[in-house]
Amino acid sequence: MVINTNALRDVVVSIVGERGFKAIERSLLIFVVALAVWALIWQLDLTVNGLLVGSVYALGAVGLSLVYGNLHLPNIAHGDYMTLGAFVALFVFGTLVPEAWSQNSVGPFTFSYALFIALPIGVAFVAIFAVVVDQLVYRTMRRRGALPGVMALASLGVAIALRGFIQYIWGTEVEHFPRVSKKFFIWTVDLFHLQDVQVRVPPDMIFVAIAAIVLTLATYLFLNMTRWGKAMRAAADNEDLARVTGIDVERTNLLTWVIGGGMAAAAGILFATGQGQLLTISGWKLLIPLFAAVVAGGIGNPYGAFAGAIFVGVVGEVSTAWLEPSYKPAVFFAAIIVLLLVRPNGLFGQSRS
Amino acid sequence: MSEVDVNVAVSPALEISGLEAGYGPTLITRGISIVVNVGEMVTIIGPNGSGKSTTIKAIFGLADVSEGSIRLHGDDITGERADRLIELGIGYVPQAGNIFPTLSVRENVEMGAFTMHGDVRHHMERVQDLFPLLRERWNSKAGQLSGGQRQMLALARALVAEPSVLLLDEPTAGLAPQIVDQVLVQIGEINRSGVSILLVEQNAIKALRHSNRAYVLARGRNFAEDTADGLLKNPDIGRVFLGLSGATEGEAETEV
Repeated sequence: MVINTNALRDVVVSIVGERGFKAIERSLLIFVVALAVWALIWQLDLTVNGLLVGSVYALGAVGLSLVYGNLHLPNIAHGDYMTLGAFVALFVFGTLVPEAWSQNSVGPFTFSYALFIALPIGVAFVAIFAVVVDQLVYRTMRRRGALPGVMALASLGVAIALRGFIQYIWGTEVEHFPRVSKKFFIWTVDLFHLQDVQVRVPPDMIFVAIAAIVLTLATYLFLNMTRWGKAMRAAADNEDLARVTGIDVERTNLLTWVIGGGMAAAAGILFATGQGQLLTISGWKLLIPLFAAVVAGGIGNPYGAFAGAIFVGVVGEVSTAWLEPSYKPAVFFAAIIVLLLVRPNGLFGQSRS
Repeated sequence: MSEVDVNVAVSPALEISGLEAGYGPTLITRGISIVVNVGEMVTIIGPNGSGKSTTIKAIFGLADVSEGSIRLHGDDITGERADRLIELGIGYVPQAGNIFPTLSVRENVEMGAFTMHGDVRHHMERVQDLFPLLRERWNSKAGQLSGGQRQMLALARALVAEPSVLLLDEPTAGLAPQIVDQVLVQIGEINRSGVSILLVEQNAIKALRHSNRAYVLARGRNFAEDTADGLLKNPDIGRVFLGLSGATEGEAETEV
């Protein structure tokens, strides 16, 4: 374990010496890990739900991280892409899907088969939308050599404009996602014969978690096993070299938006399904945990973003055992600051040399 | 140990004529002409800002060409796109950042074959045979390689597409002296396998020992042009551009 705060380290070393510092460092680490394990076990219900909440974050964070890494754009509009996807799905539920299909729920879940029509349409719509915005806004800026900070501000503009557009079309009232049933899975776990702990899980969240894992895995396989996936990683690594190697960088950029936008839509639709309702600011409000997850996982590393999202989800949920839920962001940001002190590039980040 | 160019057939592989190129409004080269004949290894030397790198970059569209032409085996390739240039048989190794650090060695070489169609496996194997060192590190992250190994990988990435002409922009920059020799020997071997090479080098004396001919550039123009031996023995060139103190080829390895 390497603590990167050299000033702090020097002060401590000057008092207790090099060996003393190592001992303190090690016992601190053991204490923190033990505390975490104790909290995770005794708050099993919150831990499990934290994993599931984290998987919702993961769906959004993987796409966000991909765009961040490949295009060097911290896309502030990502949350609103999620919202757009969910509203497109809502439109599909209301118009394109026959009434009869919406009557019965799928297995133990609260949604009907209509979701399987709305999901791909929403994903395709936002993927195309993301590409169009890229061509209109970001491509022009890239060509003129805009700095990442300026691009981020432009994406804030896109976010606000898009939210305004959504509010113009659908209004600002709470919209309800069609919900056929509402059940919980309840397990009672006997913890070391000391205490019975009830774990309550909404079935939809399990569906969302599985979807998150499948989509992240699919992204991983695409990026590592296919010619264009590897070309995307190459362009993210070194765009100029990719260009002189004969890779069509404009096309890898478009692919990044197709995947990033599609993942955002999937995240927005599945999140709204899990919540049962949708607001025009739903995606925007998710942006803070999403960026936290991306930073925790290592910027530009999509699988790291998955791990970061689980971290943020679990830390946030488990903290509600002792703190008001509204403190969740404060808690997971504190946890991330500690994490970054220990691993400055995030859980899976690597320094680029 | 200079090579004597008795066997070189005099048929131009790459012809740069009257090249004026630069970046935006800034003109760097002001009418540079360079010929690389088939099978030759030609080195460009000259002080900083003389237009060495810009000349090579202009071929791959990384500098803006305002005048002049670039021909490959007689066909005009001025302003062609990178993927087309690679298909036509030009390879290019940029100076800095010439590998993809987070990709594996294998993936780096695969990217070199990006423009090739069909099965590229035997091309990959050929490159592994050429660089046994890379075969050992085949699945390592390229960012973990040493400086010399990175240059080997950069060469491998360019060679996998089987270029007939290879452009190298300071392949020994920042390397330790004995690694510089290794890399130059490897480049010499690539040349003898039939690839014409245009090399920009700071380690001018060492590079000249492996080259057939060389051009000296100054202030964006051709300054001198001779066989490598001729330049090494030329007292004026030696003093001004090679850092040699006397008229004879000394042991000085000073960078220009």
